[in-house]
Amino acid sequence: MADKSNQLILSALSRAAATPAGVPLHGGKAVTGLFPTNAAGKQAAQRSQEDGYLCLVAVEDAVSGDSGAGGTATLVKKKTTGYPLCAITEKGLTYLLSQVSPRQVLEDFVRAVEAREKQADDLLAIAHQMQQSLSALKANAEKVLQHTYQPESSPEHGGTGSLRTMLAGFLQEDASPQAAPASPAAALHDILLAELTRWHSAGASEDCPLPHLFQATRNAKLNGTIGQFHDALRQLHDQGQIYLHPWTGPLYDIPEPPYTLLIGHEIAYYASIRK
Amino acid sequence: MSTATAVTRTLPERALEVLRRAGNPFRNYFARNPDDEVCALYHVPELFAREREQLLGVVDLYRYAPTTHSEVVPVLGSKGSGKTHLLHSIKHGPEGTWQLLVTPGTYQRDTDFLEYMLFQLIDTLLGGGKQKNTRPLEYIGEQLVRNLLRDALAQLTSTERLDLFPAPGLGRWTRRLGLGGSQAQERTQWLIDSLARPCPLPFQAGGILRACSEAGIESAKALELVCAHISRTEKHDTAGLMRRHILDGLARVVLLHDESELASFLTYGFAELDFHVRPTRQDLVLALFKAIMQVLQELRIPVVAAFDQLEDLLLARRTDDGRRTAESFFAGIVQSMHHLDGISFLIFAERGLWNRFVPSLDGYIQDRLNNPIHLPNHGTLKTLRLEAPALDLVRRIVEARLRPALEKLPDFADLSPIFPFTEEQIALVARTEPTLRDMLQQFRHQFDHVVYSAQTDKQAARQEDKEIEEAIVENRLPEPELPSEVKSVVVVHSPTEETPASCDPGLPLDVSRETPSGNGVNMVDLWDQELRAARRKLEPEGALTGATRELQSGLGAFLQLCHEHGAKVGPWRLHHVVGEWTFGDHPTYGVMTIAHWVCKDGQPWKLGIGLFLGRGPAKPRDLGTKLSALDVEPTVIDHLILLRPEDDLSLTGKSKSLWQEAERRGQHTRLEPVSLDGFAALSALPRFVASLTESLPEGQPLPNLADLLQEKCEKLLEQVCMPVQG
Repeated sequence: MADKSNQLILSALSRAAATPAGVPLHGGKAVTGLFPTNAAGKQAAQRSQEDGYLCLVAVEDAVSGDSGAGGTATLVKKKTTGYPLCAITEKGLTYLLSQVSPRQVLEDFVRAVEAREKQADDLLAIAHQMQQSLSALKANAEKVLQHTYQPESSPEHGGTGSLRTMLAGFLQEDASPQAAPASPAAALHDILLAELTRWHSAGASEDCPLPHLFQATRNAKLNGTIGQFHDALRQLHDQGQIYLHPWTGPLYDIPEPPYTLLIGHEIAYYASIRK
Repeated sequence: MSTATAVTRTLPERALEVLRRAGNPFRNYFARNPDDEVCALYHVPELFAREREQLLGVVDLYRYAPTTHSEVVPVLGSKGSGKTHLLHSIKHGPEGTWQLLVTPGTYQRDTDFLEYMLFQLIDTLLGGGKQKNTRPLEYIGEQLVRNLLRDALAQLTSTERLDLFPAPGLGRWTRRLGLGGSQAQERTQWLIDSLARPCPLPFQAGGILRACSEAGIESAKALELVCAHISRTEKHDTAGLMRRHILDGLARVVLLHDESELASFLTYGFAELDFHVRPTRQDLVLALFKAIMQVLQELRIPVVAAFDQLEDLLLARRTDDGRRTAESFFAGIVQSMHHLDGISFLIFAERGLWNRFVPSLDGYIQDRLNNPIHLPNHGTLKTLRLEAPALDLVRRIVEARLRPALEKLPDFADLSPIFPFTEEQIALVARTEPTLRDMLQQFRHQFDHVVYSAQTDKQAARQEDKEIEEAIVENRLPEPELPSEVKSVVVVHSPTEETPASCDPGLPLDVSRETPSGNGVNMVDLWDQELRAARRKLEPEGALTGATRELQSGLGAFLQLCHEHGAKVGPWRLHHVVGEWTFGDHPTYGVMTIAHWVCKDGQPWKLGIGLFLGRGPAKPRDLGTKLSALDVEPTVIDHLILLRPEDDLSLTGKSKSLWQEAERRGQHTRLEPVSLDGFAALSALPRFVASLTESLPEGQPLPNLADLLQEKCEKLLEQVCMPVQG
C-alpha cells in the first residue's frame, strides 16, 4: 500500500517537475490531474502536500456540464469548480531526484517539451492559414471597393493605406444621401439629376422644361405629386445641384402652368444640371 | 489770439464722404449696347474669362483658316447675366487681335436675310463706329494697301522706281546721264521694307501715308501705282471687277482719305457693272457679299456677326408674331451659312427666349444651330451658358465699382476694398440673387442705404443742433465771465457738409423724365446718348451712304413706334405702317416705308417714304428706282416723300428730268431736306428702344413714348406726314 502511494507520489512529482506553471491536483473529465481521483490518489495527494513536496500556485476555473449551450431560451444548470494548480517545490524536487533516476526525470521533461513543440507547430499552421485567408479577403475587398467607389484623386493602390482610404471614402459616400437612396425623396432627386444629366449630354442647347422632367419621374414609376416634384426641385436648387430658369414670355403663353414654380421673384419653367 | 477747433475724422468717415460725393457707382447696372463705355469703366477681366477665351478661340479659327464653314455659337444667359458686357469686351477689349465685328441693332424681318446681312456689313465698314479704338475702314484699308503698295513697288523696274522721285532742276540732266539713281533705289527699298513689316501695335491709322511721306512719294503717285497693280493682277470676270472696285475704293480711302467712291460702289456701283446677263437682286447681293468676304479673308480678318439682345431684335415690334419672326431669323442665318463660308455667327440670346423658340424650329435649323465646333485646348463647343458669378467674382465686381472713388483717399490702402460693404453682405447678395444685374441692383440699394442714410442721420443731427443753437441765441442771460487769462474769443464756424444735388436721394425726382420702373434711367438722357453715338457713326464721309438700309430700317421702326404709341401730327394719325417694303431689282434703293396717315372722317393717304441718299451718278438711279414705286400695280402708295441730305437738295440733269416727268404724270412727290441729326435720330431709335427695354424689369411694357417722339422728332414727324394746314 505504501509502495503504491509512493509510486503515485513519484509519478505526480515527475509530471509536476515537467510543468512548472502548475497542474491540477486531481483531474476531471476534461483535465488530467497529478493524482487520480480515487481514494488512493486523494490520500497520496494529501500526503505530498503535507510533506511539502507540492504547493498550490493558483486555482484554475473550469466549467463542468454543457458549457457551450448557454442561452436565454433554455436554462442549464451549471456547476463551476475550482481546480487547485500545484507545482513542485524544492523539497519535492530533491525528494524526486533522491528516489528516481535523473534520466527518467529528464525523459519526462523531453516529452513535455515535445508536446509543447507540437502545440506550437499547430499554432503556427493555424496562424499561417489565417494570414492566407486574410490576404484573399483583402484582395476581394479591394476589387469590390474599386467597383463601388471611385476616388476623385488618384491614391496609391496596393498598400493598406489605399484600402483604408478607399474604405473610408466608401463609408463616407455611403453616408451621403444620394449614394444610397434611403427614401422616396432621395430616389426622386436621383431621377431628376439623372434626367437632367441625360438631357445635357444629349446635346440640346435649350434647357429641360419642367413638364418633361415631371414626366421622367412618372416613367421611372415614381408616382409622386407635383408638390413633391417641386419640393425636390427646390431642394436640389438650394443644394446647388441644378439651375432653375424662368419663363420670360407672356404668362398666358406658358404651355403647362401647373408645373411652374416660384423661385425668388421668377417663375421657373426650365431646369438644367449644375456642373 | 484765436482758437481753432481741429476736426480729425476717421478713415471710414472720410471714405463715406468721398463715396457720397462720387455718387452711387452701382447706378449703371446694365450695358446699353456692345459699344457702351460703361462696360470698359467697370470691366473685371476674370468675369467670364473662360467664355471670352472660347469665343475668341472661335474667331481665331476663322483667322487661321478663313474659309472654314460658317458656324453658329449661341451664348445664352438670363436677362442681366452679362451677355452685352461680354460682347463689348470682345469688340473693344485688349484681348485677342482685330476682327470685323458686325453687331446689328435692328432685324428686318421682311428683308432677304443675305441682303440684310450685307448692308449691316457695309454699314459697319463705312460707319464711324470704332472697334478696339479703330475704325474698321481704316484698319482694313491699311492692311490691304500695305500689301498692295509693297507688291506694286517690288514689281517696279529700276527706271520706274526712278520715276517715283521727280528730280528738280539739274537733277533731271544728271539722271539722263545715269547719275543720282542710287538714292531713289534706296528709298524705294526702304519703303518696301517698311511696308513689309507688320503694323505696329496698338494700331494707328495713317502709317502708310507717313511711310510714303518719309520716302518722298506723293500719295497720288502711290495710289496710281496701287491702282495699276490692281488692274494688272485682278481678273476681269464679274467677281474680279467687284474686287477691283473694292480694292480701288479702299486704296483711295487710305491714300487720299476719300471714302465716297467706295461708299458709292458698295451701294450703287456694284449693281451697275456691265453684265452680259442681268443678275437678279439676290445674285447681286450674294456676288458683292462674296467679293467683300474674299478681300477680308485674304487679309485674314475674321468676320463675326454678333446678334446681341436677340429678344429686342426679334420682338421689337410687339404686335408681331414673335414665333414667325424668330423662325425667319434662324432660317436666315442657316441660309447665310449655306451660301457663305468664313463667318462666325454669335447669338447672344436671353435664355428664356431661346428655350421658347428653338424647340419649335425645323429640324434642319436646329441641327445647324447645335452643330459642335472643335476648339483647340477647349474641346467641343456647342453652346456657351453664362451663369451667375461665384462669390469671389462678385467681390471683385464690387471692388471694381468702388475703387475709382476710394482711390481718391491718400490712405486708400488701409481701407477694405469693399468699403462700405461687409463680406457678409456681399456673400448674402451673391448667394441669393439669380443674376449679376440683380446683384448690382441690390448693391445699389445697399449703397444708398449705407452711404446716404448716414448722411440723412447727420442732417437730422445738424437740424437738432441748429434748434439748440437758436434756443441759445434767444437766451438773454448774461454770458459767463471769461477767465482772466483769456483776452478775446473768436468763434470759428466750419462750413456744413452738403451733398451734391445730383446725389441726394432725398430730392424729388423729375418723374416725367424717368422710366416708370423708377430705376434711375432717364429717358431723355438715354435718347441724347444714343443720338450722339449715332451721329458719331454717321459723321464720316461715306457713312451716311453706307447706312442707307440701316436708316431705312430705322425709319420703319420710327413710324411703327409712332403708330403703336399714338403719336400725331396736327389732325393726322397713323393708321397702318409697313416698316420695309422691298420692290424692284436694286438691293440698296428698292426699299421704302409705307405709312397710312388718316384724318378725321377722311380716307387714309398711303405714303411711301424713302431715303434718297444717292450722290453723283447714283443720284438718278436712286431717284428713278424710288419713283418706280408709284407705278407698281395695284397701287401701293399715293404719295412719295423722299428724304434727302439738306446739303445736296437741288436736282439737276437727269434727276431733274425724272422729277419733272413724274410731276407731269400727276404723281404726288415731295422732297424733304433732312439734317445729319435727323438721320442720326433714325439710326438711334432702335438702339434707344432696345436700351429702354433692357432697363425695364422683366415683362414690363415700354412706357408711352408719344410725347418724347413728338418733342424730339417733331420736325421729322412733320416731314414724313401729310401737310398740315395753317
